[in-house]
Amino acid sequence: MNDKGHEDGDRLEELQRLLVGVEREQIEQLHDKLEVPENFSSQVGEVLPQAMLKSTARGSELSQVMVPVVEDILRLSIKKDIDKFADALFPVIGPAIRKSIRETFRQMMQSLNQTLEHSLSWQGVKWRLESARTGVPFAQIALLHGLIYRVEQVFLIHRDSGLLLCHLGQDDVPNQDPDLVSSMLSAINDFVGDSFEVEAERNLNSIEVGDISIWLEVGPDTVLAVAIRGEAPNHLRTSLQQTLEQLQHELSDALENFKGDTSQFEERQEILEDCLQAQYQGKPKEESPKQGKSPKLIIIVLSLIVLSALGYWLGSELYRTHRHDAYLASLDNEPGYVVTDSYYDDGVLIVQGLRDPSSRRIESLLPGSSLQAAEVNHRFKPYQSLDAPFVERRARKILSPPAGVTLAFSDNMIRVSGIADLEWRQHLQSRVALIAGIDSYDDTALKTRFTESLLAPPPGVSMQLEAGVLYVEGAANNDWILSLAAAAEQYAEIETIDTRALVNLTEVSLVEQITQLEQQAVFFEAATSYDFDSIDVPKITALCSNIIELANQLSRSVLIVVRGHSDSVGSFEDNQFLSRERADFVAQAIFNTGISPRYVAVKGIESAVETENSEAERRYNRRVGFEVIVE
Amino acid sequence: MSKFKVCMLGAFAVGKTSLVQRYVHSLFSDRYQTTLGVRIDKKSLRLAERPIEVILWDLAGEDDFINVRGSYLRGSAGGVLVADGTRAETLDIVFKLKDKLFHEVGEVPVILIVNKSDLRDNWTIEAQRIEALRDEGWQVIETSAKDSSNVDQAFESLAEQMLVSLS
Ligand SMILES: Nc1nc2c(ncn2[C@@H]2O[C@H](COP(=O)(O)OP(=O)(O)O)[C@@H](O)[C@H]2O)c(=O)[nH]1
Ligand SMILES: [Mg+2]
Repeated sequence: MNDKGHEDGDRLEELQRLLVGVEREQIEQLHDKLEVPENFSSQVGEVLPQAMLKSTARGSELSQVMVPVVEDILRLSIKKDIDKFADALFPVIGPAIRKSIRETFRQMMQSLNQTLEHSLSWQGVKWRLESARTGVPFAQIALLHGLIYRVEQVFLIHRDSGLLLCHLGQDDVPNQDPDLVSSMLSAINDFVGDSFEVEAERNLNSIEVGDISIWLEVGPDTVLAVAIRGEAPNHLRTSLQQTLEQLQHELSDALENFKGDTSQFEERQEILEDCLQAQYQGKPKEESPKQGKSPKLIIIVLSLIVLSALGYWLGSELYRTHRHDAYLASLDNEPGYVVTDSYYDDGVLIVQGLRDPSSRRIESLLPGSSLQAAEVNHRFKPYQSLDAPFVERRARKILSPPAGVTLAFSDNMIRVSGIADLEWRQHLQSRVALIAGIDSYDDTALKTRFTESLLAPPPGVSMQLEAGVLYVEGAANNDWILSLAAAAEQYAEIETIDTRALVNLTEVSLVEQITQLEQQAVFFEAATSYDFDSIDVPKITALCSNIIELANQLSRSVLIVVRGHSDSVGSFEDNQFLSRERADFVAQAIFNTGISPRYVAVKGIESAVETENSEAERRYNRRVGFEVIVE
Repeated sequence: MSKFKVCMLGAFAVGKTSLVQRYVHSLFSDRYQTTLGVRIDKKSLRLAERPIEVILWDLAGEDDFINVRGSYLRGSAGGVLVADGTRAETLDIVFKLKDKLFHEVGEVPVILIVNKSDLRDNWTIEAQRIEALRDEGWQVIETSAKDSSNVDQAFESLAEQMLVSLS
């Protein structure tokens, strides 16, 4: 039975094997796969990528499920080892932030390149501050501190018509109407072409106007013109050519069909932005501003941003930079110093800039910082600082005011007061213009020390100054007497002038000339109103014009009355008419010689003439005489 | 923005510069000023809601009036031909200048201005002559730069023609 039983079992197994043998093996393998964890996971691993692919193709369900998981993983990972995570992000984050900042700046400013460069460089910050403080435009300050060149405006001009297609300018540069400039440029180009019979394909290359030059690049349909301040390098020409080629290429359709609509060109103005370049002193020349120092400086600034966001993870390199930056900043704050550039050469910090000769010595500055002398190399050129204390020191040195003179400084201006001799006053006038940082001076409160010769007295005048009173004696003409009055204001020592003993020669002459004129008479025959022989026209005219001239010198108004008379023969009316006729005759004679009628009144008799006793008396009455009224 | 180059053409002293000054700055200068080379002015206006800029090139006719630089005419979208009503001979010069302009840039819109209408009593260009020109298809406008009459209208009607010729 036992055997049989055994046999039965074997047979059953055999049967089972025959019937379901294959399936069974498979079931066992499946069991293995499902129950043994390693096996199961490797199975899933094989299909997971495909499953995920399929799932994401169906929709975002899987992603949504995964989000919290991934977030958890990240959180855990950062918690566990922040360095690893930061290391992984490092190569990404710099460019990303840089890109985003660059975009922001691009929107804010038309000229990204040098604006970024100078906004983020030390000298840029310094100059902006200086600009804010002094009110001088940034561009001018930059210029002052060594602008080599700057492209201030770019014009894209339609070649045939001279119409402006697109224009870009530095924000801080005031423009003429660019449309007009564009047309003028094209007219000038034509003019030169026509006047000098230049070959058809040769064109005007550049125009120099003061410290601005205009460079022209001529393409088949367009002209690219840039206005440059300073000395631009030749490679700018190449870059203009490239820009022009790009424009011609990209806008060829628009140019072919151009009928005056400029909007398509204005939309492409970013192509022109590359032309707005600049270069400043202190940069190595071969670096174009675009790939120059600015990206490095941007990274420094960006690094500071990242530093504050992610913590202190950039390590010692940044620490060193930081220490150096602090030093540079303190140097830049030091009166009389301007840092224009800094870079590393063989691990040594090279600092370039300007230093006012009257500032503190550079050796005395280092000990206050955490830097070793070997770490840094200074290359400073002398310049004249515009900071108030320096301006003042410089002014005192140049003007060397004598005792008794006080200088007060405010806003680029010197107020001079006190008393000085004429020589120093003239010295002041000629030297003030030489003082950097001083635009003007006010010497209204400065008195000139008095000496007699300053008043240039004419011969015959003597003067004496006693206790503030200037006694003047003798005789002088009116002009000089007038100039005396002004002196009292100019000289501190003179309070009043006593001219009681001074004779005014001009007045004397006036009186004398009047007396002579009033002695003149022109006589007439009875009943006639003209007599060419009796009148001495040259003499009378000379007297009249002297009188008018002298009265004018004395600022007195004068009226010469030409008075006609008649004898008593005849009616009063007839005689009045006759006397008036005679006066007219004489007056006309002197008007003819150029005496102005406005100084002359012509009059006849005003009342009946008393009967004369003799022919002599009657003859005397038939005359024209002169009366002079001076007020 | 549409921009048009327009050139002023006409004999010596017909009033080209005065017309431009009138139109652009509304100023009339009695001072006689010979134009040298070229003077460029700009007028911005709106026509049918469209902003337009007209860049006016005021050309100096040289001694024989016809000797205008061809290069100055290039790219013009229109021309203002100016004659002086008190000098009939300036009209003949206008015709020659028109030929020169068309030769250089093709048949662009032009207007013919007969200027100095304030001196109409002294005109030697008769009304019949002007009528005949209009019949020939010329757009003739009588203006005075001195009292400003018709000046704006003249320039605007040219601007309209230029706009039309675009479409
Ligand atoms: N009476 C009068 N004189 C004018 C008029 N337009 C111009 N003029 C005068 O004509 C002269 C020449 O003018 P201008 O504008 O210089 O002529 P252009 O040579 O054609 O530019 C000047 O003396 C102007 O004052 C006008 O409409 N009426
Ligand atoms: Mg003119």
